Amino acid sequence: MKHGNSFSYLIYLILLIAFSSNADEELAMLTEELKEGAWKGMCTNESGSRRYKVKYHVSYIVEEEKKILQIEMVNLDLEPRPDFTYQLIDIDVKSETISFKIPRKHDMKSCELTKQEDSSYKGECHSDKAKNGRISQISMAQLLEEI
Amino acid sequence: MSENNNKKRDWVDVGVKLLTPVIVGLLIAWAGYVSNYTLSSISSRQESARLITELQIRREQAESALRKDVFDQTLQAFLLKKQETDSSIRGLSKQLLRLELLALNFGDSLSLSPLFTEFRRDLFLLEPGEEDDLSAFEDDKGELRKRLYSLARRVANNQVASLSQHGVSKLIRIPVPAYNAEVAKDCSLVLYEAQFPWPERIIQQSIGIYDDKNNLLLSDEVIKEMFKSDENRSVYIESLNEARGMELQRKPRYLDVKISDIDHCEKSAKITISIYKDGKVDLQDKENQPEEIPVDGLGDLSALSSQHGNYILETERSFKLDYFNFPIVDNTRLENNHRFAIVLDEFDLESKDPYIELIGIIFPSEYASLRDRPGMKEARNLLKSALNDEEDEEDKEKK
Repeated sequence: MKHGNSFSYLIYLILLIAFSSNADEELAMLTEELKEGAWKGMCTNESGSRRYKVKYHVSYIVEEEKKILQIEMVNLDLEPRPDFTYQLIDIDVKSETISFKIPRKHDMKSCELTKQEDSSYKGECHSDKAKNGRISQISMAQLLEEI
Repeated sequence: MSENNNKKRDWVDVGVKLLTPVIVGLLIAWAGYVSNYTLSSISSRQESARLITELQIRREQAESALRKDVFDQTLQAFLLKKQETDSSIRGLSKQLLRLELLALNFGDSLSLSPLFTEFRRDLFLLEPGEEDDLSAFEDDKGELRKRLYSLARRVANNQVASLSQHGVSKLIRIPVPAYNAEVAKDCSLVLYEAQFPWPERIIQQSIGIYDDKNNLLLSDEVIKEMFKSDENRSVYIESLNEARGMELQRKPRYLDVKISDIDHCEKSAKITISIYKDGKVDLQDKENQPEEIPVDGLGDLSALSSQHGNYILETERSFKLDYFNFPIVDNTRLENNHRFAIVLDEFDLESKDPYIELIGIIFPSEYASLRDRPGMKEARNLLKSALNDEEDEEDKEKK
């Protein structure tokens, strides 16, 4: 029983180390992929008739010894600004794709963007309230200078 | 001989007698023709002038009738809101179209600010209806708000451009360094809770007696040291007066603006304008005169006035300024049949150095809205100055 206990503890430790190193690697990859700072982009409405300039702010915060990726998105073409500032949720970054949700006042947009050759991202968003399953276009590129 | 002579005389007499009526007749005919020609050309000219005038009047009447119809229908449609259609994005978009028609056609003669304010309130309170597309609702609201501001700015800019041709304007740039990402997210935060005095603070910052980091003037000792000499003081006051001086028709005035409570969401601010003119105040009557101008009041015209009595306050007004202030209609009466107006020109908080820009303008009262008729005294002064101008011109001609 005693041996069994210490064995399972050992396995737990091995797994913990493996996972934590995996998480560290993932985070390192993440920070490499999505650099902290200002990003810019465009997004369209569902009908594609309007294009809006957007700005993203990518940051990594430490919470309970864990680094968490945060992205804030601002639509620069609409007013008042606070009504069009969104804290993105369910962010998932993989080697070639980023997905997130934009929690808006009256709908939720789920977006998936794919990495382009120039390291920018382009993709589509689907609103849970969109009529006839229409989609909007979205893009994201790192900004070297603050706008 | 004498017979021959008599015969000759007879022929001459006969010739004269025959030719005289012919010549006279011809002369009369010629005079008749000339006078007839002159009269007909005069009358034809008069007829043409009458025709042109009549055409012009008819054209103006037709245009006025059209404008009246457009005005009646648009205003009626605007004011008689239909609950079912106007409580949706599409309804408000139509409402904004009517406001656009009113503002662009009658902006110079009507006070439209209440309609703009009411529309902004309606838009703020708008909730999605059955026919609204929820995925686009918020964006559409933002678009309408942007369209409203853009319309107001277009009307105000047109008016400023036309008034600037006859008046004198001043650009007032207020830096807003406190605006940052945190403030941008929160509409309840206002900028400049304490008043920002223009141009005082700008000059103080430029000569380094204002500490930008702590929002304080440098210590009294440091400033006193800087202004020990009268020369330094007068240079400071001169640069201030240069910044705030506005002269129209040889009447110099000085403008002071105090701005506070800048609302970055509503794009508005509280402002106090003070307009001073040159003149002598009788300081003997004033009790408790300050012996010396306090250091923080060095650029304050009211402090300078109470000390030296060189400036007289002509008018002082406090109000909320937003994009819905239109100079031709919303202005302040000044002496000498002048008007003062101030408009919000730019609200740029996204640039590296956030700022807001106002334009102050002094212009002759005849360019103000027609609804703002001059009072009896003002009308008399206008007549007097017109007569004086005429006399001056006559004197010049004689010389």
